[in-house]
Amino acid sequence: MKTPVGDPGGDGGEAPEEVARGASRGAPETVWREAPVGACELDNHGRCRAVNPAWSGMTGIAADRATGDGWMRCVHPDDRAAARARVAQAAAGGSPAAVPVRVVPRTGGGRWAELTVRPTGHGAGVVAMFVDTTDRVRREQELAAIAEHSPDAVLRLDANRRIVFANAAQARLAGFSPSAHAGRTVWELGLPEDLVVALDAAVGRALRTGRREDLEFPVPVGADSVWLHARVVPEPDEEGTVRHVLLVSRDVTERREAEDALRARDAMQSLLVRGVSHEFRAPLAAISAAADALERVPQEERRAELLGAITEETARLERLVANLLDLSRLEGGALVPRLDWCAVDELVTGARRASGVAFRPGELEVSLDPEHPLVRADQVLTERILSNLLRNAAIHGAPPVRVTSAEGDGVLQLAVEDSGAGLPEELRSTAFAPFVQGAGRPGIGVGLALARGLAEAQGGTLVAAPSPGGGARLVLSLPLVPMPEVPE
Amino acid sequence: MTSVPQRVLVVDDEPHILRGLSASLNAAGYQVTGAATAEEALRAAAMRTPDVVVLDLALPDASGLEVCRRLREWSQVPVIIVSAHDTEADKIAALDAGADDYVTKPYATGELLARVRAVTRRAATAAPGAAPQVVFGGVVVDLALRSVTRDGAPVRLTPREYDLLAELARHAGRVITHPALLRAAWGPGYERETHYLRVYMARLRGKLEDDASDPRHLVTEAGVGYRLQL
Repeated sequence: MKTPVGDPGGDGGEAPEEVARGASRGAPETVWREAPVGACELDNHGRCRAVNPAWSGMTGIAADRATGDGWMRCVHPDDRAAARARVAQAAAGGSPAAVPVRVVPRTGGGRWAELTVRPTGHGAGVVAMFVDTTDRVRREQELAAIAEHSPDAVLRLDANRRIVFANAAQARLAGFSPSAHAGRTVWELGLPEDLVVALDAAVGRALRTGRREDLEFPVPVGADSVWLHARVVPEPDEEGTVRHVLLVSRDVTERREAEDALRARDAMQSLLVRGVSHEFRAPLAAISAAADALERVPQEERRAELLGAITEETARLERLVANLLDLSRLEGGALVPRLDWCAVDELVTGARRASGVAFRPGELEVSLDPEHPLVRADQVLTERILSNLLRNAAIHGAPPVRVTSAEGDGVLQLAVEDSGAGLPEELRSTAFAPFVQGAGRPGIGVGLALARGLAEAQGGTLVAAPSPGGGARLVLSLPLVPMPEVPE
Repeated sequence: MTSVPQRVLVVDDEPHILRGLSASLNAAGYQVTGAATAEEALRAAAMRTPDVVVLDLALPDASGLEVCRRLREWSQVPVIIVSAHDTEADKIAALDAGADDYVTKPYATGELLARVRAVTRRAATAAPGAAPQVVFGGVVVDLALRSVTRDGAPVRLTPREYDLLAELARHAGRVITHPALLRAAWGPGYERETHYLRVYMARLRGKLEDDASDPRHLVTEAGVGYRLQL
């Protein structure tokens, strides 16, 4: 039944049972009475004619106190101008957008409401609808407080997949302010299209199914790119309906890079194991075959050859083991160079002896400038570098092998150059990785990898340089430091 | 070589190495005793009074260095140390502990035999009143007269050059560590000035070697010292 606004009703916080309303109302009576939306019927000047029970419940203002301008008392003074403007727009036949207003109930406390004002459709006034959004606003405020300092980028999207909240981390990631996010969709964040498709689909699924979604993807940030892990978390309301989802993105670049490094390391290790097995198998097979043959071959001359082969292959194994041990000590940081003053000619002489290569006359040309200053280096390690270079030149290159020296740019350069076909272009950068092999060439093994490691461990460098003669040319550079005086 | 076979004590805990080395030394005319531990080595050295000891540094019960020190308390028997290739510090420590020479693992048996021959010959000639002349290549170093000749012609050396050469000559065939050489030629307090040695050895080679860039006698032992090879 209809009750005139002027009728006495409940006082204070109690809602009146009956609410007066205009005679020409078209909407069903029950909607007016039962709807959870607080509604005021106003004339075109904003004077209240009737309120419904939900409105009185929300505001604590009895129906008879709401008449005229009385309804406006529930709106926070600061928000009244916005409310009046909406009424005026609707009275003029417009459909102004909803505006959030603070509701100040007579009973105290504060609530949030979304105010929508619409013409009644009869030209005889407007209806102002207050939807209580307190819980949602509180949740958003809580979320903002929690998310404000979170290193994770946080977005909240509504059921229409529009952004209702973004935190500072998200703003940094996207390159625009949190408030500029409001109302956008994930399509409007400047992300690559294929990524948006996946992200939007995940948000849609989370809204539909209420289940969490996880995805990981690279995002371009400036010239770089970062890896993000995005988690879409559905937010069910009291009834269990998912009206919002949170999109929490975490920068997992470091973890991805660590995983990549680990994978690369694993791959390198298995390559190393394969390479090591291969390098060991050849001399072992030769030794085994020679030992086997020794049991059957009676001719002294043949036996001597077989013994020679065993000795030679054993030496090869010994060098391989020594190199591998050094490489592992180098990588494990256990190899600490003992820097000392070294004479270049002594280094080359020592390396020649340590290489175990029996150069015939004319096969090795050493031309060093006797005026070179001493270099500050680890004598043993440097000899090992040069002996590996000499051995590589002898095995993989062709004689004559030349060793030359030069000074310049604060370094002393020692070059080992052979007269073979040279290092193929495609091998120039990879030849320093352990066990890289050229097509159809015997394995380079660990020699170059070790040599470079040893050079760098003492502040030097080792590079493959193009050779004017066409052969392989490896240049060891050692830093030159001023030598203290030697008294006469 | 003397008519009585010389006795070699080989100390190594690897049975295969012991067997192989013993066979090679036997074939070269030596009488070989093997020992696998430090304790066995010291007992064998006392019982069999070997003419030379070939001592591996890595032993199961004590370091070869310790064996060398204990041996030196009562014996002047030449000791050749065998050590892994990457332990220059161990070699220096062994020489300081009284070892006469070292070989680096892996080594060729021929190289070890040459070292054994060298130290036993030195032990035989280093008797008191030994000739104060050391001869290598065409060079004669007269330790009594402090003179050096090459192919009969006198070689002019500065006092420091001579002191350095004399120290190497007095211990010909043996590795002398950098600090020991610096002490002998420059005196105490100069043990770390290795650059003196690099410069002076280059000068000595220039004056005494046929080809200074490929020295036969004034030999560099990387990371350890120098040796005068006769």
